[in-house]
Amino acid sequence: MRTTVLSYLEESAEKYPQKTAFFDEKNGITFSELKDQAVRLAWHIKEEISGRRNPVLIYLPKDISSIVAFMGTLYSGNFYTPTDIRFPAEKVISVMDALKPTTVLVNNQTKEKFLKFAADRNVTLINIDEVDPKEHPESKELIDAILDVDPVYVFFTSGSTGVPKGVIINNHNVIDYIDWAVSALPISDKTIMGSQSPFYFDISTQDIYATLKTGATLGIIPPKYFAFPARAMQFIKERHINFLYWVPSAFVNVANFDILSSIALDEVELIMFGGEVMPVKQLNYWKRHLPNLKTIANVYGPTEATVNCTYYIVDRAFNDNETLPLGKACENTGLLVLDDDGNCIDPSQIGVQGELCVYGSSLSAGYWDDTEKTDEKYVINPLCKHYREKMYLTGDLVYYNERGELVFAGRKDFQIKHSGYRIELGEIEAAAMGNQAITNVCASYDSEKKQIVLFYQGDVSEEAIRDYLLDVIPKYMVPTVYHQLQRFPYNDNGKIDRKKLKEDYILKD
Amino acid sequence: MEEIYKILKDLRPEFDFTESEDFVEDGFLDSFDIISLVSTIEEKFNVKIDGLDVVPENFCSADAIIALIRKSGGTI
Repeated sequence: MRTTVLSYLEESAEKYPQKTAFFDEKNGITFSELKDQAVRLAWHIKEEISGRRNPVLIYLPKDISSIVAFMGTLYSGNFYTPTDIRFPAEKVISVMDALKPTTVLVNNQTKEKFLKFAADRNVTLINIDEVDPKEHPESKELIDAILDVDPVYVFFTSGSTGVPKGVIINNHNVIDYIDWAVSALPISDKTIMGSQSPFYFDISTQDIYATLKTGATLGIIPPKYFAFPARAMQFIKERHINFLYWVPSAFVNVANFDILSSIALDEVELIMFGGEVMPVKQLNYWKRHLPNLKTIANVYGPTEATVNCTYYIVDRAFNDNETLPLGKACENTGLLVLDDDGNCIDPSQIGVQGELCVYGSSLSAGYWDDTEKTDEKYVINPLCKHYREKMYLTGDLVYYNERGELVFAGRKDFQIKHSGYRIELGEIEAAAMGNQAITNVCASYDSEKKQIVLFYQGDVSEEAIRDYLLDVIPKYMVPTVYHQLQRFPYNDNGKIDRKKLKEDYILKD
Repeated sequence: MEEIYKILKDLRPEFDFTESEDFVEDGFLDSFDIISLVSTIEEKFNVKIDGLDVVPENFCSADAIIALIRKSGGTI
């Protein structure tokens, strides 16, 4: 019986002990080495902290050390939340305030940096470089103690009040997703994936656990290479990477610089994207330039339903101005499209929009330390009348096309997708309002130009606001366009008229 | 040279580029900045930057950026 994602690692360590499981710019690690290092770390963690299901914050670079830390944390009966060492200190602290980790894993490289802003925190700091090498550490006892409802990770997405929301993902959620992924996608022990996604973003769930399950290999492309796409492409070519699951903006960037005309990627057989809408123009560029491309997959899903809940394997040609459909439900995932009155829209009602709702084993247990938000988003399935079944409201609007495929129509509220990140405009507003000089603020999104726009009132320069925001929120959330207004337009409810602002400033040019 | 610093300052006003030995190593420019920078340069100097020239060595200093513009056929 499979109760933990660690059984993937146990099985692959048995079947492919000497095969490289993960590599980064400098190092590689085999399945058996990974298991040994992770189990040693687990015993070390257990010596330092007591109990199970403790939240463990991972403060490590995006390389093999993070993978060892994730697995070690799971073997110890606890769960992980990765963060980015490039985040401003305030962002890491806000995650710590929300998560209240008992333990933080660092290494020689990151320890000092962490202590600079968090020395006063009441956490057990474990330097994974100081773990005592033990002979043949035992893992059975550790594995046997794990239930499939134990969390694997908590990932934070930005919340509307400025407080991040932690989504709790359990072992059975990941197992359910990975079972689908390895059956629907051509992943085998010959696959070499190229990881682009940060580890705190759930594309990495597939990257890591599909690798462990199938005995594939995951190449961690150094994050800095994505600023210089030619470097990333060279890395892919030299390391024989043949499977790319990235956010669309990473693909778009390579296409816009026309890198593939000069660096041919002969070995890439699959490209897959999700997290935001993939523009067909750049997809067609990739199609033209990959001679051995066999599969293109467009995937969609909220973190709350574990990575993805719909998929579309591209089976026809699209013109540059068309959009790709979301496709259909992943196996063992239930989807409903509900209109404003809670009525179910069926595929015969072509073009009728409704909110996409998800139920099934992929559904997470809810939000960390936030029952109110959990109850708001995880409701009772209205079509299940005789017992309680949980259903998640995605807040995404969709409709069926004439082929019966689901098509994405937009966000129901003000949450936006920008560069693959999910951002609540409210969080940006909350951060900007923290500046004393700002009296009124409204964040908006120019989906055409892909720019976050900030409207504000107050005697302060654009530069000063930027400087201020860069210290409190990650750069990908910092607006790029600013409009200083004498007064804001309001609607009848006395709320800022966002629609009017958008019409007057964003849509007009 | 001044022109380049002006472009960089507009891009990331929070940094003092004149004090940096290496913009890339110092973390002054990320992937979004590189994209904006390339399109600004292409527009301003009427050149087309080859994607293969978008490497750290060509963006690490104002001198390097000037050399890149000249290499791409622009006058500065």
